[in-house]
Amino acid sequence: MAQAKKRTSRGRLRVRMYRVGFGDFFLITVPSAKGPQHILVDCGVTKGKSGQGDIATIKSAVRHMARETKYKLALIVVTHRHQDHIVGFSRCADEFAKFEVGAIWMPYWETEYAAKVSKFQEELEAVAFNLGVAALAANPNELTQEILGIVENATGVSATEGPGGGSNAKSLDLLKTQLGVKPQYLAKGDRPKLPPALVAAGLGADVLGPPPEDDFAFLKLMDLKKGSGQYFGNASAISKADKAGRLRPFGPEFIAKATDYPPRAFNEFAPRGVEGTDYKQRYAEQLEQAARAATPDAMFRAAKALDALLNNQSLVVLFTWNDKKLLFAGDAQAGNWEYWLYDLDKPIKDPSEETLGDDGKDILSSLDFYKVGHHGSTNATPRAAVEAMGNEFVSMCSVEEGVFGKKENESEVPRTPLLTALGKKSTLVRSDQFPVAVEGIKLPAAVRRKIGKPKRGKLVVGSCFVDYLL
Amino acid sequence: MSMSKTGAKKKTNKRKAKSLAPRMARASRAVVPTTSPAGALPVLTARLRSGAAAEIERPTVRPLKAYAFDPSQGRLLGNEMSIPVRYQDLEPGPVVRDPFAGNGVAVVDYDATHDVYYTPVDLDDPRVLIRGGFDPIESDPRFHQQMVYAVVTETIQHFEAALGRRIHWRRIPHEEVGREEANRQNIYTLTLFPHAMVDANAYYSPRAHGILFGYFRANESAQGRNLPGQLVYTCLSHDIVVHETTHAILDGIRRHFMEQTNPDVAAFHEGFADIVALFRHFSHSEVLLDTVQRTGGRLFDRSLAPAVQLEPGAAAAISNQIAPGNPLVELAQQFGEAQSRGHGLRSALETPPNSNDILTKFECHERGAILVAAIFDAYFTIYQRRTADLFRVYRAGGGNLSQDLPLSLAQMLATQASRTAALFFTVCVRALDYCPAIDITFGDYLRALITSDFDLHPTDEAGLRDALMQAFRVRGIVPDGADSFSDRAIAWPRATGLPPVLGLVFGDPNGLTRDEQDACKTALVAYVQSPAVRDALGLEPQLDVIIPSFHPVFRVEQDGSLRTDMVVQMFQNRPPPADGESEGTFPMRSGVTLVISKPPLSELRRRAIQGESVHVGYVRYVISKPLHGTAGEAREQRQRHHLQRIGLLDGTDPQRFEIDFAIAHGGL
Repeated sequence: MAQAKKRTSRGRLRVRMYRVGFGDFFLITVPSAKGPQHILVDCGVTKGKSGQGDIATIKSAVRHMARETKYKLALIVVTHRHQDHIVGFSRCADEFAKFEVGAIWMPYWETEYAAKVSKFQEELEAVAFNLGVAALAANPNELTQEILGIVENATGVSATEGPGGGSNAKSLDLLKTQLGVKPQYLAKGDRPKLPPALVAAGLGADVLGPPPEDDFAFLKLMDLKKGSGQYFGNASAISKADKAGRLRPFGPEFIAKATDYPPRAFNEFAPRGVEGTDYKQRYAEQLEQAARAATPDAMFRAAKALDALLNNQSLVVLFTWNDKKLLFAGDAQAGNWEYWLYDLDKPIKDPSEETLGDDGKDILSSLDFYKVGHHGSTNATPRAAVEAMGNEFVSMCSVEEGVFGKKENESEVPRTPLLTALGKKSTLVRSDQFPVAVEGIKLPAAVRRKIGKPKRGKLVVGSCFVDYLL
Repeated sequence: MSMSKTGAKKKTNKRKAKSLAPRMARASRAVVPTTSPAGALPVLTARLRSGAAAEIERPTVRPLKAYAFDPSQGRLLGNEMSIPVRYQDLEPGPVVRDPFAGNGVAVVDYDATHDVYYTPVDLDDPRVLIRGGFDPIESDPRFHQQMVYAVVTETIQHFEAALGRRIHWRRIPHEEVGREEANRQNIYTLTLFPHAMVDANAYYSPRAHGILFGYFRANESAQGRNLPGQLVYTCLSHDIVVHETTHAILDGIRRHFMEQTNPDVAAFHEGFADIVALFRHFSHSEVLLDTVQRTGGRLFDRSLAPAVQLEPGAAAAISNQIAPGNPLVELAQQFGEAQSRGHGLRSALETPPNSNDILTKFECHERGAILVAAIFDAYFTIYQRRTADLFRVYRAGGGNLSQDLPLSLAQMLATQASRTAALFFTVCVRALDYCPAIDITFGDYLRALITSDFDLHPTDEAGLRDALMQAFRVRGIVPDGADSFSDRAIAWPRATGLPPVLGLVFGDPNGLTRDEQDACKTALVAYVQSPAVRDALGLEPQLDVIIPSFHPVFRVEQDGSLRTDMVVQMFQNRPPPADGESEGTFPMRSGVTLVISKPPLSELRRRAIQGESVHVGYVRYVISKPLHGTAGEAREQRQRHHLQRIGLLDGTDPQRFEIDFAIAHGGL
């Protein structure tokens, strides 16, 4: 650590990724004449579907960060209100209460002064809550586990107590009212106010996302509510009546068996392309399997949509310092990226003419650091963006293997082809790639891979973090 | 759609959907053999066996009861209707018995949520037969099965009448995906699941080889005409059944319209299915008449006049003073109300005319609504034009449009409305044969509409083409590659200079026999061997040409003569890049639709005399989407960007580009 300090004072910028499990916790340290200045980008973790996402190191990591920064943060950036980005604030409220904070930036969607926006967030929370109740009422299976994981991440309220407590609501309250500064609520086009210490250190910052409050997001919320309509209105009625199997459409006198149907009803599902298929047989099992495979869970669809809606509220910040560019994309998904990548604020005449905007291209081609969006999931870094990125940067991905998604349906997080593509372009570091040894907690690396050597700067592994010095 | 041929004015009669296919199909098997399979029509066969000498003619229709809209509309105004479904031999389910039908359906009431079957209906049971099918009732699944069967079959009939040929379900050419995979994906019998799952959704699923209908609880509050928390069955909504069936039929006609290559593709599927469902409303005469009277003939009004007039400024005291929504232009009312929307799921006139929506709306239903609104804009224009004189006469005679219209006037208006709807439905469906084989856009569909109408009604006395063009133009839908906004410029250009297709057999309206199919295939494969032909068709010289479908079409021309065409689709697949990195690539295809005409009789005689083959066809239209050139490059870029936008570019599953209606519908 002493070594690291020396380097920063010698004039290197440092990006530190803490390993806390499935969640973002980044510290940027900028050298200045008045000593190093610190920026905290998110602090959270979530259990996820597997229940294994939270590796219980966040409290130790926060204490470590407090010692490192001497309880002084020039700036806190909160990308969006998901548990895996903010729960650390309330979980370690005692620590954060002691901090001196220069400024707080939050996405526009956190403003409390726009009635429309706060109503939006309230409704979103209600949707999430109802979904959670419905998922709990359903028969537990892999899908409902994933739904509960998503819902917990959105609400920050656990069904079962996780290690350490804290909630999204408490974290937001702490950030908005208890740290002594009024947050700035930002969207693309806004000019954020950097604290003087960072300006003096030569830092610049641009806000690229989220798109300004738009009707589109409100439309999506409508869709979400419509699409999962049957789960709303009276969640408790669902849990009682329907769990007991009372959503039966017809009386017992109408219950039949496959044998009540003629064999011909199942011919469509008989084996094909083989000789001697017996069409007098009933291929009921094949029919049932096909029907089951074709009925996705509406709840799951709604949960995914909810997740995307919150992710797209992400604050996307580009820091610049000494010609170096650092992109922190939060968990932004397609809609958010598109807005600044393609200049979609103007309607396009012909989609075929749509190419990356010049601004977007400039930024991506000359990146020095990229915080991989949404823990490397498939929906958060557009392919066009990866293609436009340069070749000499470092990317960091906070993730814990196997916490969300499935490889079979190509939803695993992190998504292998995306990380492979990023790995080809950049020096990629994953947070589950190095071991932890802090305050008596010892964890091995979850993924066996050597830390690469960047083309510029240096990567150094610490007790519960990895540093990029550039 | 009413296809009645009585009392038509000459002008409109010419445009009527006159298809020979169903009629001739009936003629060819007009008599039931005495050895009819046991179980079919037990009463009649029993009587036949009892020694009666005279044969009883096979029935042509089977009347079955269904809701004209959905259960929430009650029994008023013909909501409980009887559909004359074409007569087919059925087994309990109902399951169509003919194993070679190709357009057959099987209703199998399997519930995947609860893993149970519900009792199948036996429509041949004498107790059911004698009353024309089960009476409408929500609590008996057998009525649900009957209604799904009746509405799906009726929809098939209407399509076949308009197209002038038989339809079939999804067919995959084995040259494209291999024999095994093609075998797996082909749908021979469409399986209908009336209560497949608990979900406010219904969708066509190629994976389940059929259509899945969900059921769900209405909201506890603001549920419209439903009871709070009551069960709502999507299979009892006439609109929803027609909509989903249309998806399946469209997939059988143009499979690549399920491949999301540009924002219009999925939107076209949705919009077209809505158009078909909405035009059906205009065939329900009682509702139509009531709507005519309560809108003063302004059928496009969003709401009807209340049954009891309100004083200006007064609030409604009884329910009859509340203005109800216009049932003709709203889709799936019960479904929409059960989800607290306060109105139907969608409407024919959802978007006011503007040219901005097409640039900013990309969700498939929203975008589809633009197409729906354009078609209905044109429809109401023609309706207005055709009825303008009636209104003039009425006003000249002292009539006042703010009062109830006299019954005879209302009837004349209703007749015009339903006749015009039948015409529009036919034009919309026929245009499918003039659509490109792949990558459809709204502009392409406009060109197809204009061409198909041009082809059969060159004079356009009704002004239909003009109405369509204006309605599309004000919505910013412009056809790619047309020089100007006139019907001749928008219609696909006539093909010139192509050699005739030798060895082509046109068969008869019942379809092609196996031998005829083989002959056609050989002829078409030979035709595209020529480099000059490939160049003219916009096909790549090196790649294999896949011919997924070719079918003869029989239609009656304006002068009453029979026109015989063959509609052929061809496409080519561009192979993925050679470096072995298949991840992130997407299928690019070239595709072409050919409309090939059978020569007139005089030409055939001349050929016979000169000793030339009479099996020949002349290419009239080449509707091409090439891979090469600036058009091909622009298409590729458009496709890449679209896939980027909808997040499909990454991945390795080749099926991911296909529309997943289960998700696209997310509440239909």
